[in-house]
Amino acid sequence: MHYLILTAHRIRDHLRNHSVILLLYLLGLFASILFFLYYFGNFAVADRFANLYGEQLRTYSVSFPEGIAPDAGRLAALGAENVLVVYHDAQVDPERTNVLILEEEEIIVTDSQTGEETVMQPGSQYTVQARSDDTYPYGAKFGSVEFPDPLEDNCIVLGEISLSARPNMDVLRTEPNPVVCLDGVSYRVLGVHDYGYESCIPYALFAANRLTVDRLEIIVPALLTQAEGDTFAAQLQEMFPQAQVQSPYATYSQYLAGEEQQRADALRMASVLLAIAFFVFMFLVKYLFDLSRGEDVVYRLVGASRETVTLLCPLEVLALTLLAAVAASVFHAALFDVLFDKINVYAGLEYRLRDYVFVAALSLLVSAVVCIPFLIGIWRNSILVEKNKYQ
Amino acid sequence: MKRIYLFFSSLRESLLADLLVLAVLTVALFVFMDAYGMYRYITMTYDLTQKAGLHARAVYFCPSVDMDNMETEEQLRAIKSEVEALPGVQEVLIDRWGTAACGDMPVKVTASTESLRRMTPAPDRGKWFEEGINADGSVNVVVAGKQFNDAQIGDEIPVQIGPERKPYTLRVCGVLSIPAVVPSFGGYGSQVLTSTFFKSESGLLIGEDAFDTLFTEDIERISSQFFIDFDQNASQETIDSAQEALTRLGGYQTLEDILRDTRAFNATTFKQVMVRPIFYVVIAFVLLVSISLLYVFKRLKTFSVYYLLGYSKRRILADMAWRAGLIALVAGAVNFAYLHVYSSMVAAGKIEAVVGACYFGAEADGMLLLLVGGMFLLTMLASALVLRGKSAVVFLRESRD
Repeated sequence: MHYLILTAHRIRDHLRNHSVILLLYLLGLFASILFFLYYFGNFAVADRFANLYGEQLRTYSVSFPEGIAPDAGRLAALGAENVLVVYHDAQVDPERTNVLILEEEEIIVTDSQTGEETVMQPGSQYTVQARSDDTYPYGAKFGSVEFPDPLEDNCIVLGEISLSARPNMDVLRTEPNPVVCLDGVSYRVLGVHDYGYESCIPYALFAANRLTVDRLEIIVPALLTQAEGDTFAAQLQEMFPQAQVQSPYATYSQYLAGEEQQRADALRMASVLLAIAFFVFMFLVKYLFDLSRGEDVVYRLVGASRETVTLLCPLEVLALTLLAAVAASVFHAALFDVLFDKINVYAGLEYRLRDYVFVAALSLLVSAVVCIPFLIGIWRNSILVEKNKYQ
Repeated sequence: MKRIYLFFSSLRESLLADLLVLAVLTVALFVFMDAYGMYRYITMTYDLTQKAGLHARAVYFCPSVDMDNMETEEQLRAIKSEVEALPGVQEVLIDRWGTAACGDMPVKVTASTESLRRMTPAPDRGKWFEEGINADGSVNVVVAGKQFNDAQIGDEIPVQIGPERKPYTLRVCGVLSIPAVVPSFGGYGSQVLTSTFFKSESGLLIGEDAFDTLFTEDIERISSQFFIDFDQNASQETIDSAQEALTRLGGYQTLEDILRDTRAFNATTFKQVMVRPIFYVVIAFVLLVSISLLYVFKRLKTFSVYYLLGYSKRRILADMAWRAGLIALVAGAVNFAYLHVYSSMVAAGKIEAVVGACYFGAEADGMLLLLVGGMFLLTMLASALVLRGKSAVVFLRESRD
């Protein structure tokens, strides 16, 4: 307890006699810790995964070997809380299709992850998708990419990329009634989108035309942790026993491992930057240490050990660091909505109490480490030399 | 001489702290200026597009042609002619280019119209040509990029054009240094930004009349996308009908949408690129002020002696200014040198792996000057405030040793 009283006394003494130096030191620590908080939140916490990967980390994929009906009750249940994307592999009718270039030879497609090869028949298969919220992130490569509301007929927006059939731009420009016929149903072509997705039809049409769902993607509204995601994937597997369920954590495991590494590197980098800043600001504290030497001599003369006198200095540094860390945390939390949220690189970042505690603890640790070289001089001080100097 | 000796002897007293401050300040300024250059490289295309003075409803147009088709070029030309004939269309901005042999190297030669020149940065050396072809038959050229970074105004560049390799002489009237951002209209995607219209590349920019003389249509190429500007006096209905016609020829995005998307992108880019360096500079600035004031406090006794020996407080302040000024000057000079050797270093392939693509115009010099000057002045202001109202006796009383 008497250490704390002595430390408080010394800080009060510095504040009374050398307030400028003390305040500059606190300002330096405050600015450095504030920066560390920003850096920590933006580059070293897990929450940003959700922002970085957007929907991808929230998308659970289910493949059906036999396909299921679009109005299956299970889909309705899933769609109540989540966005569903349904895919159907349709057969093109070349006779009634006037805007597709159909491949004449079969294509062998190799899955990049499993290495599994799929033989696509020449110009016969064409995948269409529909999304339950009918919202797509694409622009127009040709014509319009907006579905009419209300729907008047069967319509489709073609995708640029398709395996066995692609839009014929020459014909699209000249053909007054561009049409594709899928599974015997004709669709009026509204336009061509510029995204690397399949062709899209309105969700209502998918069900109305009773297209079988060959693949399903469930986009959950909020990012699930890996454990929650595994549980959700298990529920999906239970719901669709014959299907193959893929969790995003399995799909993006390599990316996530890389992200973990980047986060660790970012934290190390930030700690080094903090240490450099603290080290240079320590010159201010060293000046204050030097001012307290007369007091140290008195302590030694009345029986304090060398260790005791030396220990007072890091205690002083830690107390000031704690003060700066608390001030920076309060400042950051108070101005988060009006300032820091606006300059965050990733939208929606949240700082929890444990983040502030972690940053404060790390700041104390860094302070303790960087003040060691400055203690050597105090440790080496001879009581006789100091006594004569201040006598 | 005596003052110089005193100055250097005082420097020795706080050498380690001064060197650390110098290192931190130099690095902080370097990181800041590099980030600023990167930010400007990304965002300058917004300014360049605005400088073109296009109609707000001008569109960036992607013709629907099959890029795998052997006749793509003919289709593009046909669509361009069709677009030019649409009511309300004032100009089609397109990248017309051809390839010339410059020694053993193929080089891109671009037709630079007045509108395109407005969308191109001013040459770093020399100026844009007024006449495409000179009286002696030589062609005026503005050279751009890494391949021509060392070219001098007045240099003559012999080129050969076409299958029969007809020789021409191009005379350099301007040099666009690295990054040499020029309109190319090559990109298209779900989100079109102003950067989509530009490319940083080596090449030769000549007048449209000169281009028509040098390149016949069979060896000329055109960009796969182009900008369509409308007549400022065209009615809303005319533009609506022209835009409707364009949907039959391909897809487009309006300039106002593109500028809006680019503004949002630039704001995000600012946060990604600039916020960290700003923190670095703030911390370096606090450090400079702190160490400078520490120096004042440490030398109060010396100053009191100077004061008693007849120094005015202004001279004491001038002594301190030398010290803080030297640190700021060295840090500023290192960074100023970096800004001005960047192009040559990139051209020589020495720093591309270390730093990203940057654009350092005159504004970068101004920004550096503002930072260094501002830091120095504020440091001196803080020092003057500490010294304010202190007599020799107060100096002595407050000095510690």
